[in-house]
Amino acid sequence: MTGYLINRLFHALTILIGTSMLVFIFVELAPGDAVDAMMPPESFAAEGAKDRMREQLGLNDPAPIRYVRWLSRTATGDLGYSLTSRKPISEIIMKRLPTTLQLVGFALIISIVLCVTTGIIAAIRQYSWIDYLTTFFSFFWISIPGFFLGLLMIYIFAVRLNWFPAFGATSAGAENPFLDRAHHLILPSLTLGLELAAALTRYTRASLLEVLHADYMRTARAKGLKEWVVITRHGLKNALIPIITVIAFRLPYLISGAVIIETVFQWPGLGLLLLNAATQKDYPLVMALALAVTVVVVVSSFVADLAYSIVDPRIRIG
Amino acid sequence: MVDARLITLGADLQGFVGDLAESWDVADITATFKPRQNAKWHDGTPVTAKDIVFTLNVLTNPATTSRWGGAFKSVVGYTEAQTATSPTALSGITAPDDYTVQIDLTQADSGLLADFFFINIIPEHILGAVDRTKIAEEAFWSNGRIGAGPFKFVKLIEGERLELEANPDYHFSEPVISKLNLLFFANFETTLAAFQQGPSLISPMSVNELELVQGIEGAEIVTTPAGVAAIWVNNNQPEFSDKRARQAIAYAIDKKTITETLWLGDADPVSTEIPYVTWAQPADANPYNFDPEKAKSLLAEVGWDSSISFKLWYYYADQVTATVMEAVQQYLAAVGITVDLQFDDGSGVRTKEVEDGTWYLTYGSFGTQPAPSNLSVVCGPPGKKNFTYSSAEFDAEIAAALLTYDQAEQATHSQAAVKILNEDAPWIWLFDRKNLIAVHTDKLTTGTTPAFGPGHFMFHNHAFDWTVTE
Repeated sequence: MTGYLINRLFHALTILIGTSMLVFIFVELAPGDAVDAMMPPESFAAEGAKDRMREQLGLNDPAPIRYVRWLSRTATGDLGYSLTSRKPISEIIMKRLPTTLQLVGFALIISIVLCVTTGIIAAIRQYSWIDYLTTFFSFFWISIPGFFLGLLMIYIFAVRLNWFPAFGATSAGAENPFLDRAHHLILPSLTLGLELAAALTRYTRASLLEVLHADYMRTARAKGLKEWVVITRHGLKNALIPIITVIAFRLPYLISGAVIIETVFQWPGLGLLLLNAATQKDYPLVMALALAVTVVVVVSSFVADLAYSIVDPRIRIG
Repeated sequence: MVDARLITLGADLQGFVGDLAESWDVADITATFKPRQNAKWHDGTPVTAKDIVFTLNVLTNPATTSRWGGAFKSVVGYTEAQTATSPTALSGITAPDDYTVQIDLTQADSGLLADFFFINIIPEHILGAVDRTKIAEEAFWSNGRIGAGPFKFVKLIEGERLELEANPDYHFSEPVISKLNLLFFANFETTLAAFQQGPSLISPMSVNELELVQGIEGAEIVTTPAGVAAIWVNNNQPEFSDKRARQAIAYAIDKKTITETLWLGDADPVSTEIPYVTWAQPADANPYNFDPEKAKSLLAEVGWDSSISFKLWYYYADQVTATVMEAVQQYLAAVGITVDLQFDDGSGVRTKEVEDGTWYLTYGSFGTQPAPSNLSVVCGPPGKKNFTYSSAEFDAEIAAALLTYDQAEQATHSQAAVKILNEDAPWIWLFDRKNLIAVHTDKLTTGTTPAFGPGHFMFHNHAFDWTVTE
């Protein structure tokens, strides 16, 4: 087990450094810098103001030096300062990370509950109207762009029905902050979760169909077990392995989808922060966020491996 | 809402309004300001002359890289301060007593007062000891900001809103509204949804949403000046160095039809800068009415090569602008000018072209310029590098306008300056745009005096007497 963990850690570090280097290169290759974003041509900045600001922000140093400086600081836990807000990046990220984790976490829970439920029903009632309806909605949710779906949800459930807030994570002066946040969370997490659920439903259905007619399932039924026990205790466990793989594979898409959903719903998480940072060429913040996302993906991959070993005793870690 | 200025402009752009300044006098080479004695910072400290002196010295210090420092070039000591090896206060800015600020000028400057519209006064007792090179990094600016405006900072919820509360010591009067939240949106559609649903009482909008907003119960639409939209032309490019080529662009575009059909009347066709400053407009300015045949003949005179295409940048992301650009492209194509539309998404490509001088055409706006004196920034030396216009005649007329306080003389020189721009057509002025703002007037009352003005400089919104009904 120790050897396995060291191996995974080594892989994770390689991925993190490689990702940071790629992100840095792409940000460098893009024309302009943070000072250009802060002072566009129409800002009539005083003569030399841009040069002075570049000097203050260390942007005049060669790119390799800036990257190595950033890497050595990051290795000690110092993510540096945002070029635009001048605030410590670690502080910025820690403020926003829980908000994104709430969104992604609930979206994941919603998608898993939905996909397992509808996937089981569709598999059991194969070729019935329920199966066709499930298939239709799966393709429907997959086909709609997240941006449009978000706006549609806002229009129907916030503007027309006034059931949920149209934006933000909190309301000013809320009496119960916890309930208020939960109320705000429903629409965006549902929007994000539906898209993933649609894809997972298809996999769940297909995976379950494969095991439904297996010999051990026939044996379980022959033992007199109720059908729902046969499906959940015997069938679903084996059907879950490929589903876990798909979930782990789709998690980065969930996180990238969060950028769109956070923009539509003005959900103040890392996705919105990344969008603003990229637009403003705030490269230290962009790189820190890219690292944060990479860490989440690496950790989720590890968690998926652990989940395999729980679901299938034949799989051992290390 | 949080900050205060020395003087502002009314939201209708007519007449100066004293904010922190109770009175002022500008005569010859001396400007004197008398701050209000009842003005206080949000922490209770009185606002005094030393805060104003401090603010102006911070702005003019090159270490702070402020974009407004150059507005005070005519102040005694400015030139020396730019080359000093350590931060230097301008000798021409003094506080003879706690409630008098005196600014000594090297020459008359009738544009001085208009510069104050852009400047918030900052507290000397909080920022006075901060290293000038690091002043922009202070947490003060984003968290715990202390101003002297009608509303006090409560908290910033990043990515969501800025919460403010009434300042009971506000120098005009305590605001009627006790709490005010400024909401942040990354997405225009969500902004409107929040307005439709109700929590947002004021929302930006465009002409595309006219029908939608008109259908919202209790909503009204307010228009405010937004600035003149123009096609900036790189006069250094050989194809556009001859003014006849630039004039051809002006004649080729049917501004009237575009304002009627695409802007739906929420813009006016213009052919000069600052058209709303009526006393600065020459009576004989060329309106450049739509005349494609005239455009073609001008192009023929300069030997125009219609096989070459030019990039036409634009940076407004709204759909109306995109449609206007397509219309402009077609009008130009009809006379033999081929343009490729290019949207500037902030990637820096356009900035690079501007810095390299390789750009050709850009559609944009300088925003509402509150006074003709601002033309010296927009069309004079500060803008030369980026906007390529250079006219000694124009510079002389603007300089002459700045050197006199006599309104009639200012008008004569300002009109002459605007006429030069109109004839030279260094840029093609097209539309005096209006910003549209949706307001829930069933819940929010802002009084009879205009409260909404241009977004890029400080105007007197008298927010202290706004009222809200639940």
